[in-house]
Amino acid sequence: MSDISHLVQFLFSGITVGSVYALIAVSLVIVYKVSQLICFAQGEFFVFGALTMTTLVSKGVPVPLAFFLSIIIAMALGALIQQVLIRPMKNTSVGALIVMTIAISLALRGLALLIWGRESHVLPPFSRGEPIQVLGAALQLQILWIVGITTVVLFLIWFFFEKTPAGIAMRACAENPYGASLMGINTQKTTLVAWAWGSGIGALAGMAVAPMLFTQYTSGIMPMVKGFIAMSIGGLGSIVGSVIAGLLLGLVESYTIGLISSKFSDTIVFALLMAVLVFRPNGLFSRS
Amino acid sequence: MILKAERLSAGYARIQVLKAIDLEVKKGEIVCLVGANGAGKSTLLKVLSGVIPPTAGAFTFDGRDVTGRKPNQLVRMGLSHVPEGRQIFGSLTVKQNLFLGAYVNPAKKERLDDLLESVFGLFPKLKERLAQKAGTMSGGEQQMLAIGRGLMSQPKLLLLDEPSLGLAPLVVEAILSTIGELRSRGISILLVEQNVNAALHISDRAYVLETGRIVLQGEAKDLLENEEVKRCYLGM
Repeated sequence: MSDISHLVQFLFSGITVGSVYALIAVSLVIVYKVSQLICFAQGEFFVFGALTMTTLVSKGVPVPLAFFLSIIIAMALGALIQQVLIRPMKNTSVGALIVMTIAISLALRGLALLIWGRESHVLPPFSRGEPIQVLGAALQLQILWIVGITTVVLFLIWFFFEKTPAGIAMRACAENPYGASLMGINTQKTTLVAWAWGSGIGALAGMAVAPMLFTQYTSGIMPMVKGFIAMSIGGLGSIVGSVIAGLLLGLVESYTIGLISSKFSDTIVFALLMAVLVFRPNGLFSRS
Repeated sequence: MILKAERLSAGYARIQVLKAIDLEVKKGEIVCLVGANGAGKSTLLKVLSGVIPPTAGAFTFDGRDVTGRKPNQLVRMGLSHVPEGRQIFGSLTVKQNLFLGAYVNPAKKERLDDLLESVFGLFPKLKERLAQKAGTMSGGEQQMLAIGRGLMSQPKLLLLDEPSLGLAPLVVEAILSTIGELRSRGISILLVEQNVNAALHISDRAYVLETGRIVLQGEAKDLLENEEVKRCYLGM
């Protein structure tokens, strides 16, 4: 392989990993916007999405059906958690709520261990076929799926929040719950929908990369951390910012692994986070 | 009768803010609530729009008992509350803010455009600002937006809380004169306004609230002549 083909190969893996970080960051932002809360259980939805789909496909369920069923199951789980565990705590401090989401994360991880055991599971690729050769680098078809799914999801989210009454109502709720309630917007229902969306997108991230990873019950930890870093670099509440930051993180990681050493990839990512927190505490893309 | 409250009480935790309020707004009337800070005016509006449940008493809207209804039900029935401090959505555009005003009555596109036009009839400035983020407008424009948004649900009764607070005198005049315009469109109004003199001049009747009780009520023009009102609220 030539130097160029190496660089292109790193670009592909960077975009793949970056898309996953972007999706998780977006799922965190959506929940954060309506609940002012970082849900630390988001990594578990990543695992549940991947493993639910793997199980369904291995039982002979067609891939498209397994895909939608896994999303719906994750959305239902997210909504259930909001309704049963988060909603009753609405008058407590944010600190208590964060501890609650950590507890939920651990409980879901335990549940995943009970259901799927300690083994790693691999999902077959969404479509069969040889990798495409691009400038001497191999582009696996699953990467196209990942990028395609990420693009579609981001477009849908943009459309939802900019163009639909329900999406605009959700933003209104996030900004000013009292004002929103006077418009007749049901703030509880809106919060529930946001949690369902967040969980579904988290699961989608896990499902999209499941053919390229060995997923097990603890696989959600690092994606959650990286998604959270992307969210912080992007400015906590900004969907666009966290998408860009997610992709950036993926590329930085990929080129660090490729050009320096895999030993340094996490170090550099965390160093980047610290630099952003020190010099741009409101995120790289915030205006203030 | 558009609104009738009987022995309405409410409060926060153990503090009783409203004590057995009796109040009426007839169709097409502008009724003003006068009182010092902390007298319970805003709390009364919040109870009437369903934000705070009353602890005792009852109220009817448009002839129906609506005690304990939630804001979304009351907005749908035609009771719109333009709150103190405007509470507009600063990160959304003016257009998005206005559309949220019609959130509970999902109208057809043409109907929405008609509603928008009728708001622009009152506040032409909003038309120029449609695509602008609401938070970047001046205080007066934000107040116009808050009232316009409140009108998008096609209310029969508008609860207006301190519409002139913090605005320049000229803007205050413009806002208060549109309130008279609203009545001519068939909307009844319950108004809380710290500018008591101006408020009484545009109102038909008024209630004076002191520490959660109604201590005085009557025709607005009579209250303007009342010695106690003059001394306490008009600074004469």
